[in-house]
Amino acid sequence: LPDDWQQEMTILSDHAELDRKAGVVIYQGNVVLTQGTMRIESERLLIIRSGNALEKAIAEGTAKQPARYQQQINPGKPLTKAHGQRIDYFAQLREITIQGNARLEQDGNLFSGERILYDMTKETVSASGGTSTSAQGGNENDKQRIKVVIQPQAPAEPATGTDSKPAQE
Amino acid sequence: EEQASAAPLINTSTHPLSWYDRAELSADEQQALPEFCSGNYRIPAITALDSDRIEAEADNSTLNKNGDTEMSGDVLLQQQDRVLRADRASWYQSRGYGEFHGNVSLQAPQVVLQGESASISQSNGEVHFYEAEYSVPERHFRGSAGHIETLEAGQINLTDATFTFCEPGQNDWDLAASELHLDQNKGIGSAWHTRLRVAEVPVLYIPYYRFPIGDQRMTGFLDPKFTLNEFGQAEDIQLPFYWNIAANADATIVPHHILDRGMLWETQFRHKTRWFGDGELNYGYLNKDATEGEERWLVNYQQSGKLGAGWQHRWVYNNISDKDYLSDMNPTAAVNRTTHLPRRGEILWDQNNWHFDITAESFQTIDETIALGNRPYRRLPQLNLSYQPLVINALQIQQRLQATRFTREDEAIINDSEQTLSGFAALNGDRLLSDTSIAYPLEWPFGFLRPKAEYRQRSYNLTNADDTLADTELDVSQGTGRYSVDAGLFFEREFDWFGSDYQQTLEPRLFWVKSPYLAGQDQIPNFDSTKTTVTYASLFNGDRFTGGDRLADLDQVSAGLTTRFIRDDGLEQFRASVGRIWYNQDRLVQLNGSTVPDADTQATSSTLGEVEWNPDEKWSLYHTLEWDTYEDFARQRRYGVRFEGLNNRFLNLATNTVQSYNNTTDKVLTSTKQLDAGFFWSLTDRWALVGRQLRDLRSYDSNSTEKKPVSPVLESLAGIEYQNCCWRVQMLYRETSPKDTDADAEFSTDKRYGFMLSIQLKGLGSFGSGTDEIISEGITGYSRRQYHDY
Amino acid sequence: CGWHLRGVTPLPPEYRVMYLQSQASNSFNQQLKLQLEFNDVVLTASAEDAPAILRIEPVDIERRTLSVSSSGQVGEFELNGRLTAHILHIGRDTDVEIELKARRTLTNDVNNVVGTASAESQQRAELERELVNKLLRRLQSLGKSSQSAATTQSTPAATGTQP
Repeated sequence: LPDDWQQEMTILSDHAELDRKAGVVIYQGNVVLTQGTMRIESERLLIIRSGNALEKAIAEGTAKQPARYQQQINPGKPLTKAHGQRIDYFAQLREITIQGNARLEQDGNLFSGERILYDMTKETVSASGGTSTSAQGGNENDKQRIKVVIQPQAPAEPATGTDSKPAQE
Repeated sequence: EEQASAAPLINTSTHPLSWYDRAELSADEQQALPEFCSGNYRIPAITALDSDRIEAEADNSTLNKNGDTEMSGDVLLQQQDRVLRADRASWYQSRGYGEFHGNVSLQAPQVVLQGESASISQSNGEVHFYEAEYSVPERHFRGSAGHIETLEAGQINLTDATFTFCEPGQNDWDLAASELHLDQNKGIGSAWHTRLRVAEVPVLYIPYYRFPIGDQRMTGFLDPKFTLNEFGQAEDIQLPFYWNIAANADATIVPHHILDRGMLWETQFRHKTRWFGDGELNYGYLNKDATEGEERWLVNYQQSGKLGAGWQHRWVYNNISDKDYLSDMNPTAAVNRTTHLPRRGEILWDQNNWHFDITAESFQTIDETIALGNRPYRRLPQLNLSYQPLVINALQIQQRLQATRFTREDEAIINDSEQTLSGFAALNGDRLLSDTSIAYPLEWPFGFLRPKAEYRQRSYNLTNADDTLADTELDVSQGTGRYSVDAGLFFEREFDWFGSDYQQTLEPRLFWVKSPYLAGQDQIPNFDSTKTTVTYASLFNGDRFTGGDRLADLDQVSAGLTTRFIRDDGLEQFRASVGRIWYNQDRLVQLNGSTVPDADTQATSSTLGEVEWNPDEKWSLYHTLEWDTYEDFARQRRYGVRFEGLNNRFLNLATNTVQSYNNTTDKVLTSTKQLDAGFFWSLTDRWALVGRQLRDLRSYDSNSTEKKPVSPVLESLAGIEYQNCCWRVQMLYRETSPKDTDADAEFSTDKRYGFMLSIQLKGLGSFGSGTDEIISEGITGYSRRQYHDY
Repeated sequence: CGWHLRGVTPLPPEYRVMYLQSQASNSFNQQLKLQLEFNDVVLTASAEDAPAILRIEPVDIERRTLSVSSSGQVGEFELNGRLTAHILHIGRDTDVEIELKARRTLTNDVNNVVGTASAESQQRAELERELVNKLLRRLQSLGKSSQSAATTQSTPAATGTQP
């Protein structure tokens, strides 16, 4: 919801560790971060603070289990969900970037690609190909393509129900 | 639910307009493609998505909060079986509407579109393309347009568009139109303010034009015909114009300019009705013939249809302003040797072995050299009722009844001189005909025996008798029997001929027929009888006349022997027959009068022989002979060679000789000796040669009164045909010798020379472009020619 | 020298039952049915319950000018008859095309138009009869060529195919 970022943030994990010098707290194992309706689950989570405000959280998944994000952006719409190898949450900017086999689903439309940027205030998703990160192992010049699936515009019934079929060509 | 992990990369062919060059086609696609086509369209093979969702792929894209997506960088977007490509695309989810920019292309099975920009609305499936090119691969046509709008159900609207069947890159001809509407379901294209352009130079303007784009072949379309005479003047120009009146009626109007005559307007009006079947009206009108100075017109009406439960009807009506109309008004058509134009109405009923019909028929004699006495009678009406079952190894009873009223004019103005008929020639009459026959046809595998007994009854009520026939009997009713036995055996043997096994047959046949002489038939006019043409088959049909007015007196035995060589697949490779009739009495009944010519007193008929040899399916050679054993000369001698090969190669070569014997001068008279040669030979897929000559080989002795043709070359054709992937042109030089109808002419025919050029725009024009009919009249087999068309 | 009276030449067993699908004229079909039944062929009422279908295209008889008389009128006509038939066997999935031709000449008497017309219709009827007999002989020989070929699989389309 719009005021999620003012909510109190709770983080659960198997164990946590404070790196005082870097000012970074590292949570490890089944990490779940919740703030209002936003919820980020990952294998490992780094929290970077500036002063006592949260500046950035970095959630990393594993090959088997990607990092997952979901949030109720506005009441009328279904949950926005995303997952990818790594999710960065920029609290101040209220942006999220998803990288590494990134996928985001909003309002029935699906985004997938190498790197997806999600701006929570403007509710816009943008993704660009960019060259593949070495972690991907794809060959260097293989331009990463963005795939989008757009559901047909649903006048009344729910998004995935049968709706007025555009006349067949 | 979990979406497919990653949408498959959308496959789209990189072939503009879905056109594939020859090298890219599969082996059998190449084999089916004629040499002059450089490639072919392929219907885009797209695996359709099941639901209505849109799957897209791009280098980068953004999605805003009300679901509008912007994509850029080689955008590919697929919905069901349509794949779209663009440099940039924006999709407005709320309005279900998308815009695309930068070499946009849409591929779908029915149509391929390419343009600078485009828009799609998902709700009604409308697609708009701007500055676009398009192709319909299935129909092999393409074009360009300022704006293309594809509506639903296969309708496409284009503005300032072009349309052609030529291959991409080959602009030999196209149609440019300010508005073009293509309806792929009805297979009809309509265009407004159309210019036909040859190599992009406009040559013809048509305000509204309609053409076929589907399989429904619409005949009589834009198919310009030009004929030049020997001085290079345009002897004949025809520009058909099509008018679609209603769903079941259309018309073709042809302004037809003829040199030295003026503008003849020919209209052909066609209609289909549920009850009266299909009809066609042809009407030609020339208000003032420049040379003849008067009105000339032709009316031809045909209608036929089925009424169900075995009933059907056929009607034809002809009327013509003057005798020379047919030859003067279409100099391009094959020379017209019609002498009579029929007017006939028939209502027929057929149900297993029963047949009934009512016929009304009269003729307009247009050949003025035919004297009034030789002109046909009207049959107003004729009723036929017959029961003719066919059985084998059982009793076969057949009955035929026919009532006819024969009438004809006994005075008329012919060649502006009055001719009248009197006495016998002026007689009209009602005739009742009854043929009853009982037969017991026996058939076994080794032979057949067909005994038959008939009684043929004729009753006349003659009218219009003037006083010179005061004592002739006007009501005559008489009949006679006819008894016949047809017997034959089939002998066979297998034998080996150069390694393949053949079967030879030997088929002796005897045909005995007897019919008592019925006197007085010379007192009855000949309404519809004629002598049967003498051929080997006529030896066994047990009559000397066809029609109903002459019951031949018969007491004869025909004998014939046929042998066949049959290949193992049943092809009759060789057949030879020889036969003759032995007469036991003179043949007294004649067509006209009662004097018995010598030939009818001889004891045997001529010997008839027939040989036919088919070395293979393409070649056929034949020879028929009627040999007069009394005077030792050939009454008929014919030789023929025919070839029908693959890829449009036809040849026929024949000589026909017909001779008779003049007892007074004891000399053999040759009435016909002609060579009939013709070939249509495609050298390659592109080029073909045409040649034809009907040559009179007869020698005419100068002192006889008989007129001879002005030149031995009665008909000749020489020409060439060139075609490429989207047009075909035929250039023919033609000589014909129509009959010279004025009485005092020195020769029986006058000569006419002409050059004919006919252009066929493949996909648009119909085949019948004038020259094709002339070629098929001259060369046997040409009517089965394979055309490359769309 | 091997001559013998022709014995029974039945159609091959696989063509013993067939469905006749003919677009030819009423008289042609009547004679063909008679000859087929005489050769013990059972004609079924519908295509479904017949292993083989004999499909006959309309018999095409073309009339053309054979010779021109010295007075410039048509002296003789030539009637060129042509019959195209297909015999399909569902089970063996074969389609044998049979193409037959026949010729007749006809004297044209311009002074007796109605007589010439009735002579022409008689010649056309005789052409049809000749084509029926030729078709029967070809059907009877179907057995021979497949037996002699002694191939078990489907007999290839007979060489009788025409362009």
